[in-house]
Amino acid sequence: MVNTDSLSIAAHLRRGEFVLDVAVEVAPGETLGVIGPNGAGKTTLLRAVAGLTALDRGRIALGSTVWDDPAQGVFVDPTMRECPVVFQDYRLFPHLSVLDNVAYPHRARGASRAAARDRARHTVERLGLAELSARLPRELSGGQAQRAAMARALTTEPRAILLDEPLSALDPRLLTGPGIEGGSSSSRCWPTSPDRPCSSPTTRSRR
Amino acid sequence: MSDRGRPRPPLALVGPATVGVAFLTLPLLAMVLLAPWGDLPSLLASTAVVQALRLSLVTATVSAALCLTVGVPLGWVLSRGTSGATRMLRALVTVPLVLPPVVGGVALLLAYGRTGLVGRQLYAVTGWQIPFTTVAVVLAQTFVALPFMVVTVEGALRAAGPDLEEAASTLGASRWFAFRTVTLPLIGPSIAAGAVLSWARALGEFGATVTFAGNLPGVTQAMPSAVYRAFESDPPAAVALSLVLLAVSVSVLLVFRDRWRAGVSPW
Repeated sequence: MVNTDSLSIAAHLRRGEFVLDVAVEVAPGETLGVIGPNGAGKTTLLRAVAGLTALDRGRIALGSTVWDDPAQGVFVDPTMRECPVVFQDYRLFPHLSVLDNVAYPHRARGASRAAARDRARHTVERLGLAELSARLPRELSGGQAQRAAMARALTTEPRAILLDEPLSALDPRLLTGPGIEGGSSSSRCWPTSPDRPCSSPTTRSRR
Repeated sequence: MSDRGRPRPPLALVGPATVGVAFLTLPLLAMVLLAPWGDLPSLLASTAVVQALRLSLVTATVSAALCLTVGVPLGWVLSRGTSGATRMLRALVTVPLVLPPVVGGVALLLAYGRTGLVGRQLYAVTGWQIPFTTVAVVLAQTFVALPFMVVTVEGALRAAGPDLEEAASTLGASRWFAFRTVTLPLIGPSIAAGAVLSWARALGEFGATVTFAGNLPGVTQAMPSAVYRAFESDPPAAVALSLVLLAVSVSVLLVFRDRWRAGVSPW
C-alpha cells in the first residue's frame, strides 16, 4: 500500500552438495507460499531474502532498492532491509514481555521507551494480545507466541514480511473441525491459535 | 529400605571415590582443627594482616573489573568466529589457564619489566616501571584470571547461538543494539559467574604475583604472599590468614553454586 513495486527474487546459493536456484516475483498485496519437502531450501530462501545469508549469484530487490546483488557488490544488511521474519521457533526475546517484544523494533529505530510501547500497544490490541501483553514468552502457548511474533513483525508496518512455517502452530480446531476443543488444562502445551482473522498469517504476509 | 531396587554402585568405584573425598577434605579439616582459634582475633587484627587483606580485596576487585571489561567482548568475538584464526586465538587466550603461574610472572616481566619488550619504552618515556608496584599485582592477577571470564562467557554465548541476534537484526536492530538489549541481559548470570570466578582466581594468585610484583608489605603483598611470608616467621599467623581465604572461597562456592550451573546454559 505504501509502495507499488514488487519484491523480485533471483536466488542462487550453494551449500556443499545443496544448490538452491529460485526466481520469483511477488507483487504488492500478494502472498507467496513456498511449499516443499524438508531440506528443499525454503528456510535458506527466506534467510537470503531477510539478509541473513548472502547470495552466491542472482539478485534480490524490493522495488527499486537492491538488497543483494553479488555481481554489483551490493549487500544490504538485514538491519536496513526492514523485512522482519517470523521464525519457525518465533525467537521472541525471552527476557522481555510480549509488549516489550513488540516494542523492540521501535526501540531499535531509536524511539523512546514510552513511544515504542505506545505503538506496540496499538499493534498488540489489533492482534488480540492485549491481555497477554505483560506475559513473558515462556508463559505463552505456541499459537500465542506466534501471534506475538507476528505482532512484533507487523508493528513497524514493513513493506514485506517473511514467515517460516507459518501454519505449524495453527489451532488444531482449524484443521480437524470444531469437534475438538482444547481445554484450559491443555492450552499451555497445545497450540491455541489466532482466533481473529486479522492475525491470520496468509492475509498479512505481504503489505 | 528406600534404596531397594536401585542398582548398587560397584565397590571398585566406591573405594577410590572415598579415598578421593578423604584426600581432599582432610587437609582442610586439619587446618580448621589445628587453627589457633584463641589467638585468632589478635592475629587477624595485626597491621600486616589487615594490610594484606585490604590489598587483596582491592586488587582482586580491580582485576575482576578488568576481566569483565575485556573478557566479555573477547568471549563474544570467540563465540561468533568460525575461522581457523578464531580457533588459534581461543587457544592463545586460554594458555594462562594451564601455564604455571610462575612462568606467567616471568613472561609478564619480559613484556612489562623495565628492560622488557613494552616496559622499556614505558620507562624511557615516563621514567616509571610497572614491576614491584600494586599495578603489577593487578596485571598478574588479571593475566591468570581473564581466561576464566572468557571461557565462561564464550560457553554461554555458544550455547545461546546467534538466533536471537538474527531475529533482532531483521527487526532493525544494529549488532551493537542487539548485543546490548538481547545478548547481554540473557548471558547476565554467566557474566556474573565469570566475574566471581575471576575474582576468586585473582584473590588466590601467588606465583605470577610474587615473580612480577614481588612481596612488599602494603604495596604488593596480597593475602597468598602474606601467608607464604608468615609461614617462615609466624606459622600461627599463616594459619589464621589461610582460614580467612578458606572462608572466602567457601562463601563464593555457596553463593554461586547454582549460578555456575546456570552459566552452562543461560536460557
